[in-house]
Amino acid sequence: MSARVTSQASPSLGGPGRLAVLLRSERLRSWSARIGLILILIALFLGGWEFLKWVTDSPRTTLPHFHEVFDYLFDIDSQGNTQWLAIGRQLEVTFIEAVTGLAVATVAGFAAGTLMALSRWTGRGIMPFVIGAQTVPIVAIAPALVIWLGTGWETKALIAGFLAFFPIAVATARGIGDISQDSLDLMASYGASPTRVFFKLRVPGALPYIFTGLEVAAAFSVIGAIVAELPVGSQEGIGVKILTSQQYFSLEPESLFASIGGACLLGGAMVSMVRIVQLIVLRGHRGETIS
Amino acid sequence: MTTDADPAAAAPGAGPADRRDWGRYAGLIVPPALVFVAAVALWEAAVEVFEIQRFLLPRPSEIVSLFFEDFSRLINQGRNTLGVAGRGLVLGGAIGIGLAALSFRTRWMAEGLGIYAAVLKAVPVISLAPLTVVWFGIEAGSKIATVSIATAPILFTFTLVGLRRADPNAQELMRSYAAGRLRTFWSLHVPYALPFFFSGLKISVTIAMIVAIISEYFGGSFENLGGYIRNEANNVHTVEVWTAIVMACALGIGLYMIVAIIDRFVLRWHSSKRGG
Amino acid sequence: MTTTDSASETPPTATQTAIAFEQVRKEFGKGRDATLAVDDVDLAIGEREFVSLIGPSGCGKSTLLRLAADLIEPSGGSVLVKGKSPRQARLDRDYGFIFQAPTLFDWRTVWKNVALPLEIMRIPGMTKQKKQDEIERLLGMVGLDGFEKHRPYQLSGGMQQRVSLARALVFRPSILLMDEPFGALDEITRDRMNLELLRIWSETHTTILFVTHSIPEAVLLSGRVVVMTARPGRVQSVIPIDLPYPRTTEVEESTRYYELVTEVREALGEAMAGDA
Repeated sequence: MSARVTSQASPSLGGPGRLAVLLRSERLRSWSARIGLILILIALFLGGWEFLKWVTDSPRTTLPHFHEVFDYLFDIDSQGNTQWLAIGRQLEVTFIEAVTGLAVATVAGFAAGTLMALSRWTGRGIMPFVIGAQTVPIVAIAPALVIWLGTGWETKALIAGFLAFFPIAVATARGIGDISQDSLDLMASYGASPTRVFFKLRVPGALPYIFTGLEVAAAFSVIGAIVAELPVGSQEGIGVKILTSQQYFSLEPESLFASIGGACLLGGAMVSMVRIVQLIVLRGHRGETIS
Repeated sequence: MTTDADPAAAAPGAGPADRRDWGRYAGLIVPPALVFVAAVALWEAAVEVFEIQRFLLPRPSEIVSLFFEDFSRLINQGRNTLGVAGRGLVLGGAIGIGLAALSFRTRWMAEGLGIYAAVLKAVPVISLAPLTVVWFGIEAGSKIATVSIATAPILFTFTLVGLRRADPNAQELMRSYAAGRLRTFWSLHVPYALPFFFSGLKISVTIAMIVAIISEYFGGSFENLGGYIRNEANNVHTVEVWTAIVMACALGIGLYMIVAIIDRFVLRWHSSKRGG
Repeated sequence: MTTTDSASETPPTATQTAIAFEQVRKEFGKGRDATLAVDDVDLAIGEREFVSLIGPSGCGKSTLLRLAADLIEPSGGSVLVKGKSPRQARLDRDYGFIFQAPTLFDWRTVWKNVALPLEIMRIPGMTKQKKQDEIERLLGMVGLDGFEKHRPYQLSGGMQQRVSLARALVFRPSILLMDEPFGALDEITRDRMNLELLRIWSETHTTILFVTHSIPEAVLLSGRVVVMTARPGRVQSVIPIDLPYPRTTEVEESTRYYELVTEVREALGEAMAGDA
């Protein structure tokens, strides 16, 4: 979430130059404050972890020490690789599935959203299903798709894309449709063609919405990829790694923690990627989104 | 557009007439119904024409007939899944809304919790399912925990944004009345937060349902939709899997619609302002 | 800096001071980023007086109003409201504050909006019946009979501001602090509201401190007009308006009115010149 609350408005004081100085210094302060806050939050998380372990007196097989999980990353597995490399390889597979899915979903979602916004009947006809389709339990469809299309990464990318499609389509439809009549009238007064109106007005206006949708979609694409890896027959991916770690949990609990940590990092990385693109693309926009 | 002299401009009956209302409802129902019928017909025809094998994609007619045959079992399993989703949602909501209410006045607290919430939303929550199994057991407890981990950050974020959205002038107004914190919270911040809370809830109910099913898929009893799907999918009983999908969708959409109707009812003042 | 009239001179109708600013200074921000919004303001507003604050944007007229309302605190000097600290005056519910935006609660009907301060304040001796009568009387006074059950969004801007006025009067504060209350209304509505405000003022015996950026409005309404300079906000001059009350639209056609408007305009011109 972006909680950029403007500081209590001191009613229009100081010239523009002074305002710029003020903004710059405030931004700098807020950045350093942010990094400090994040460090504190990480410390709190680790502290909470160890505290919980101490308070509940959990054995290693319920909650290992954080450093035990960390050490595990540098153990050597049966193939002679370090564990972090092994987990990294699985993450790479899932990452490719998720990114491909997200890319396909972005194109398809944008097209579908545009269609829904611009054609009233299509919109009304399809929108309930776009919302309804989000209730489809993806775990149930995944096995059938795996049987159908094979266990290759493309199948998983497709499932990841399926999940990522809906947030993008809904956000695009809302953004493309939510243009003020005044702006449309202004474009009409210039005699702008529909294509012009679309690219000069609707698309830029819709971008903040679309990025909000993309952020959700990025997280969903990772979920989709992992879920797609669960059905029997899959050999690769962090989802498979989590499943096998679960089976050997009592022997090697650190493996499950490390794999789940890896999956979480992947989700974070995907969302951060979208955020960075958003920061670059929406430089000039006002920074208010609800995510 | 009204000058003050003309109260008729603001007279009652600002809402649309009843007859037009019916037209609007028809406009909302007919197109999706047409799309639905067309899609099902196309599906049925495709299975017939391309001779798609049953275990890949069964006919809708076959799914429907089995659905009604197995209805009592499915509704039973659905009820168990719904119970898990509902409990997880209530727990997640209590945590998310509670934290939002505690932190919305304190900027650093709201910001810190906001970062945790953002991380949790980015994290593939279902990957945590095996861990919750370790901590809360293979049965409902772990599934409820996973659902609440998935829904708490969503409800937290939406509620927080809403609580902080309260008009600054109105906050000053309450201050000028020397209204207490609790009073201001209930009379001003809560009404502002409600529309946001409901938007968050609409998202959360469908997510709660899906996460419940996925975490059931990870193990435990078969007497719920996720367990049933796992079992039947392993035996390549595709038609059975599809009946469970239909039940899951029906319950998910039903939940969503209940929330949407409550939203409409509670926030008449809000939606009528939006809808114009 | 010219002074047409000393601020400390006793106002024409006053018996006692309602609001007193002494050597008031207000800074926003800290250190190098600090901006001086108001400096060296001495001003006394008598009981039952109608005083307008006028000046270029950024002259701190709203700041003065907020200082009196204890919505912000002075950086230096003192503010007294009815001989008490603004905080005490706020806790004693001595003033009603009216914003430029009507700041009505969309989820409440007109009636319930007006009732809000009474719900919060729980004034002793205010029975249900008395409350009922009072709200009815006030809605009549602001010309809104028959609109009790309407929601704010069903009313025009002018009517919304009338509700806001009724809400400010309902707990019978002896002071009204009005921050450009009619600034967002169209000219025609504004004229009507001005005359009604004059009538209400004479009926309710309140003291009014009124911020505006309309010269004709200030002259039509006030007993004295306080002209302020910008950056920092200082009192440039205080112009007594010697037009007899009760005033009607005919006042606006008198020669004296034009002379006073010109006088205020010239003072304002000087205030702006000092700024440049």
